[in-house]
Amino acid sequence: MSKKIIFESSEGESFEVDEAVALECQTIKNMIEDDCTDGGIPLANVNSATLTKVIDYCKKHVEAAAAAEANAGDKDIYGANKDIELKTWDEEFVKVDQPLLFDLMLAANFLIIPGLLDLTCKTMMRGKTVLQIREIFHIKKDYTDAEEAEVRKENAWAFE
Amino acid sequence: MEEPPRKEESNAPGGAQNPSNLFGGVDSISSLPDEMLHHIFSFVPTKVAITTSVLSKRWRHVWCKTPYLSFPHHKSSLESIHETLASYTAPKIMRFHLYVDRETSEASERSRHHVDSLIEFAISHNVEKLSLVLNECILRFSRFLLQQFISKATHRRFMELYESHMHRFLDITSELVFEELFTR
Repeated sequence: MSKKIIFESSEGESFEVDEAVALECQTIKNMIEDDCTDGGIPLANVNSATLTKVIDYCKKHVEAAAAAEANAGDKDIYGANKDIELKTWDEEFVKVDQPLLFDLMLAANFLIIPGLLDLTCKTMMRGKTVLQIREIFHIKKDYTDAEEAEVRKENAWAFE
Repeated sequence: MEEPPRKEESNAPGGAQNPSNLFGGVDSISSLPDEMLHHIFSFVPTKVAITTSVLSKRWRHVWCKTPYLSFPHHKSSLESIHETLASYTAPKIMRFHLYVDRETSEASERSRHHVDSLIEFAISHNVEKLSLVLNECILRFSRFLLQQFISKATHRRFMELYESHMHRFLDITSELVFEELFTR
């Protein structure tokens, strides 16, 4: 039986995962190597909803890596079938509301999960206009109209 | 005034929801460190990164320090891009991508000079990864500059060259490889 690691979310909820899954997080990997994971790992800045998703992501990617290894000699001529499947899964995975996406990005950054960090960053502004970004993220405009016009004028080509 | 929106599925993030309820009305993205915003910018064309400068004063100069510059399939003039880069303040470019469409590349000598100075700009910022889509006409013109870059390149730097629609990935270790590509 594989070793288990226990995460504790900011709400104090416990999540038990296989060590292999936890190892997807570089931060946790370092802790495991330093042998300081006994009694669980408290993640004060990751809530349960986010942690559930993070664990899903790590599990899927551990499974995908294992499957890829098992089928290493069994690739089609493009050698990419599994990759496409995982990419599709990733695409679905980030179809969440913007605050959860944001929390996932912060968690990926904190736990150091490069794949998840790239995935969430890539999705953060995708397909949104500047006005939508301002609205979604509640960014307060602190320019006067004249100042804003000036900023737009500076690099007018980018706003065309 | 804004970037033409890409077609977005209705169930995609930011689609169906009412934005005013999100994040409890708090602006959390503006308090992210620049490095994180640059990471987000690394996935969009530099043009989009530049448009974020109108969001607020906090965002005004964030794009100027992003180590990832990307000018893909643009319709804007190379000259404007070059002018814009006068505000660029990062000491080092991690990735520089430039796509020059066929019309531009077949056009005036001026645009060829602009391409040349953009490549020069990337090199002068110690570019780590140079990615260019040039057709033969421009490639021929910028050849000496690129050769110079390759001959100085350390093993950590590499260059991607695309020609026409054919994707070529090269780990350049010598000028010879480039010569081969060029005279092909």
